[in-house]
Amino acid sequence: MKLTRRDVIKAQAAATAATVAGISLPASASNIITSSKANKLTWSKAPCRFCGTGCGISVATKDGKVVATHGDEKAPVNKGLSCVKGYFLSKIMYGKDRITTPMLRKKDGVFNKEGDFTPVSWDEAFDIMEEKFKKVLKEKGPDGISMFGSGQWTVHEGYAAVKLMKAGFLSNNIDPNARHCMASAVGGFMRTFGIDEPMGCYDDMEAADAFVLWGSNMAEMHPILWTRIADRRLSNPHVKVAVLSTFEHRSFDLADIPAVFTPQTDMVLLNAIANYIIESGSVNHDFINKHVNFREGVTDIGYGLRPTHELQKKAKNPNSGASTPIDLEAFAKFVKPYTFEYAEEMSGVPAANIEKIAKLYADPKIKVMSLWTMGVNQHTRGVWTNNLLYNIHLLTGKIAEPGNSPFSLTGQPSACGTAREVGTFSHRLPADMVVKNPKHRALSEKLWKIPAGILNGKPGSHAVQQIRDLKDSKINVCWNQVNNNVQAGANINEEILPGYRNPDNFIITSDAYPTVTAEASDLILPSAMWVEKEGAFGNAERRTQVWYQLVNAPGDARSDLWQLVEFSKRFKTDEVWPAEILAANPEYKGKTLYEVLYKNGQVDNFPLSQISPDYENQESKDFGFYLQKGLFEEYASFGRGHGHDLADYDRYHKERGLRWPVVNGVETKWRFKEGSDPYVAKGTGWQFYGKKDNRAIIFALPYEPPAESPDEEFNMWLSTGRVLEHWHSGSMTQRVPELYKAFPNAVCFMHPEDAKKRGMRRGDEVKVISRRGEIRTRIETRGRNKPPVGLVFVPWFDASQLINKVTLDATDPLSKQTDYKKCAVKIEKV
Amino acid sequence: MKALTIKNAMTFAMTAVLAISSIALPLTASAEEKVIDNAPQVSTLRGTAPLNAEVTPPIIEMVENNDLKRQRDYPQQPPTIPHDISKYQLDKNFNKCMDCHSRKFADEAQAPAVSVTHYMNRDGDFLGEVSPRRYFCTQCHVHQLEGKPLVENEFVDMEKLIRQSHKQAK
Amino acid sequence: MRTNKIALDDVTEESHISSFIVLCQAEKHQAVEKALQEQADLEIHGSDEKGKFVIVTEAKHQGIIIDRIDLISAIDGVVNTSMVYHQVAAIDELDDEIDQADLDQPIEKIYEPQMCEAPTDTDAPSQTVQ
Repeated sequence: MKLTRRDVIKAQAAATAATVAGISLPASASNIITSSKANKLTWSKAPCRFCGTGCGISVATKDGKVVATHGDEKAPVNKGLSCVKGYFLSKIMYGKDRITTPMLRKKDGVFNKEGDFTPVSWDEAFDIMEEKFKKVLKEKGPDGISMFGSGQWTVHEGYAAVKLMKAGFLSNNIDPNARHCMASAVGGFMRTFGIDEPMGCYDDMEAADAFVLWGSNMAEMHPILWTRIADRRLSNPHVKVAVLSTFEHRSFDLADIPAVFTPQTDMVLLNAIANYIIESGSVNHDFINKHVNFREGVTDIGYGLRPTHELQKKAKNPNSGASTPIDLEAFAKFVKPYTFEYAEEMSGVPAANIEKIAKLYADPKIKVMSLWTMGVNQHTRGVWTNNLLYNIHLLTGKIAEPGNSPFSLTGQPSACGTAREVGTFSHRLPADMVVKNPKHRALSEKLWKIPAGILNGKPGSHAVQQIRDLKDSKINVCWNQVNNNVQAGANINEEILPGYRNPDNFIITSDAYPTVTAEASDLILPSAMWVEKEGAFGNAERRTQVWYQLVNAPGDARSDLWQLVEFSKRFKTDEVWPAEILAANPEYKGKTLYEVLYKNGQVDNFPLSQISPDYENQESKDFGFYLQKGLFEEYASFGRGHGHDLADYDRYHKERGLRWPVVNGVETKWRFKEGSDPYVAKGTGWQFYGKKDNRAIIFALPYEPPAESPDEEFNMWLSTGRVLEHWHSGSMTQRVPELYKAFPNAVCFMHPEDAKKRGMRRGDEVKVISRRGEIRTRIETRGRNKPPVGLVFVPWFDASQLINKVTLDATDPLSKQTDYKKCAVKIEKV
Repeated sequence: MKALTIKNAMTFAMTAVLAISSIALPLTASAEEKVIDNAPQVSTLRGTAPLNAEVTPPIIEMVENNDLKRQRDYPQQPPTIPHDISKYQLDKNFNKCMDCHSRKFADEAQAPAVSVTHYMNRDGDFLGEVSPRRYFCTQCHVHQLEGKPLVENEFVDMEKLIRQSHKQAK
Repeated sequence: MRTNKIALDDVTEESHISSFIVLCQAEKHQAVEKALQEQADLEIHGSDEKGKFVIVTEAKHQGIIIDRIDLISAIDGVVNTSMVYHQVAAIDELDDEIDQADLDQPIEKIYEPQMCEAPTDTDAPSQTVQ
């Protein structure tokens, strides 16, 4: 065949247009393009590295580099769309300051906590880690060590980490920074339904008639889900959007019913809606008679502060989640004081607007979807507020069917998949099991093939407790992976920096970039990121997504998975397991943790030949078996047949994710509902099978004030959060020039009147001061966020302005999640 | 500043300490706490401020407003906005961007019209107007402030890679 | 920040090759197809039953391409015409024959790839990006 350049260009032009239009061209035409090897890009799928939405991304690679990323047309989540961060994913791995070798603080050639970071080999890095771990384990036992990870661990990494800590070192001191993010949501699910994660899915967004955002700014934090809601609202005039928040933001641009409320009074609004549902006769009696129990919770439960804190001492029932059974009548009496008038007085939202929102829930003809994330979760009554949200959906029976959906959104790409499902929390085991329960421990020991009775039954230190324990020298070794806690944790000055720099402590941080957490550490390990390794994430709608390793990591950087598994080779069971258990189970004697945890006849079951020949897999080649598949299959054995069923690992390589439970190869869109959930028996309608009697619980819970409110001196509310262009602490996005230049520095968003009162103008340098610390920033009276008088908003992505020096480490007493959304500050001109 | 060039980083840190020492206010650390009292060694985005101190933040930069189109890294990447949009109305009632960028008006406004993909709905079918899912432009298109990035990015675009591989072949 | 510069100052004899997606009312598919076929410089490379066509055209000047868009849009039944691809090449090289061996050569040997197809001001009305 003779071709001219003209033919080639025309074929290229036609092929490009055909791709966009979704038309397939005759094979002869496309051959012209593909036969030109130099022009060829390899396109693969991967979920996005950022938020919990879990968009599918098409990733182009060429010559070992990622060259393009855009929304995957075939991904059901985003159907070809991607937010600005997703389009710039291609650049996150190429910041010039990637860490490419381990670095240890040294002086005169040896480790010194006050020394300078010096490049060392992996061997030397693991040598010092081994020495520190063994010393602390010997002196203090398993409670002296800790690991802090996140919902950015891949499923495999989180699973390997849990196994190393809980089954290897027998320490439950492992927690993810999802504790700062989703713990209250987990608490809410467990309390109301007895099983974690949303019953609905994103398909609800095309079915609902009304959307109510509770303290969530989806336009910036979940932009692609917001496109689905905008699509629904703008294409269907009858659809209504209500946006509730403590300040006005971009999501208000689509709001039919906007509502700015005083911090913490979301609880009043929710009880007022419950009261309206009852008083207007809108209770779905058939539904609650069959599927709901009522309980009244214990009150005055404190604020998760140190026991020595005044507020904590004052609480009558600190940290109690106890409750007693009641009935609908008692519940109705409980919420009766929550009238619209009272709610208006407390929240500042006009009664007429509260009524409009209440009617969206009360009207049986309106399918309503509630959406929330950090506004509800980062809340000193976060679990309660989650419970109150489920109350109004349960009272009306608007749950677990298309469009009727209380939907808890997630912040991290695998907060669900890794932190929650794998159970990397200090109190959890895989598949919603907990360390406290002897049956759960026994099952885990069996599935992990470790001696019976070996697991530690005492819940370990959670995120905030780990930091306090480091400061108090109770924990002396801490290994951080995929988190930036010195920027993300609350009360940096009083709690975090003293803990990290405590001379008794050795802090290890694995990261791709030198964050402030790395800076405050003693040893930095260089990590591979995103498509530099094979991995899996689980998104907010229970969708598990797997990707291949597409490129190699730079220099000596290795995945967190490799780091965990390789490090396990340095410990013998005799060094870390009790002698009496080894005496009773001599076959485990003299083995390394690597042999009993990973090369255990299960995880190493799948040979290298099962890895796709088209892709690299650094860890597996190093260890000699298909590590990711082995870990996944062993992990999946926890949930199969127990409502958490996952498909075979290989299938996920072919699918754009599947929503669990995957039973007989079919995913589940709506759980608990007959017909769509295979676990629900015929003829029952709904079964909330997380509870023994298949009934969900409506909780009577009152409004209780926040831990700290503005007073005469500290006279403003401070709320913190994210911006669209940056993800979390900005450690990836701040290294992408276009994202950096879109929003380079944190500012203090303030109402113009508040600025005027203080003689300040836009751009002025100010101090934001709390009882705990201060930062310097600049005043912004315009732009995307418009706080009401009396409240300021400061984003936390900026490493040069550590706003968490100012925030309070008060937590929800039940979930132990920090409240980053409210504390009292004053603003002073510099 | 590259993480590994420790020598350079240290020289840099030393000079920075001199500059900062007058404003640094260590709150918790002892006098020996070099790590949090001094300028960071590796933490690029922290600049010269010790972990323990807060320093004068950079000014709020102006929006680049020159209307010069910028090179994109690959064809599917959304172009950044080369002008100021701070006063634009963009809500469910009105979309100011489309005054110039809709296909109807792009002619007289001399602005690039939105791409063909913006007319597709979730199912990939073409609509007569811009799809509502694309209505909020700022989810993908962002303005740029003046001022330089803190960290250089070493991303290489596909065109350069193709050229490189060609050169290597020779 | 690089600013875009696609002016091909050194190209004197240029040719513009573009592709469009034409969307018509599905029921007028056949009539539109006929009208498109009647235009000698339009090539139909593909179509589907929903009323979408992939069209490729070549012209010596980009103004002519814009005229073609107007012309297509004027056909009865056409809802929308969108440019997807636009490439400028030196006209005296377009007829060069390429044999199979050449196709394995790096792409710039075959043609100058315009990876970021960014619009110039003059073709803005019809310019599209994917």
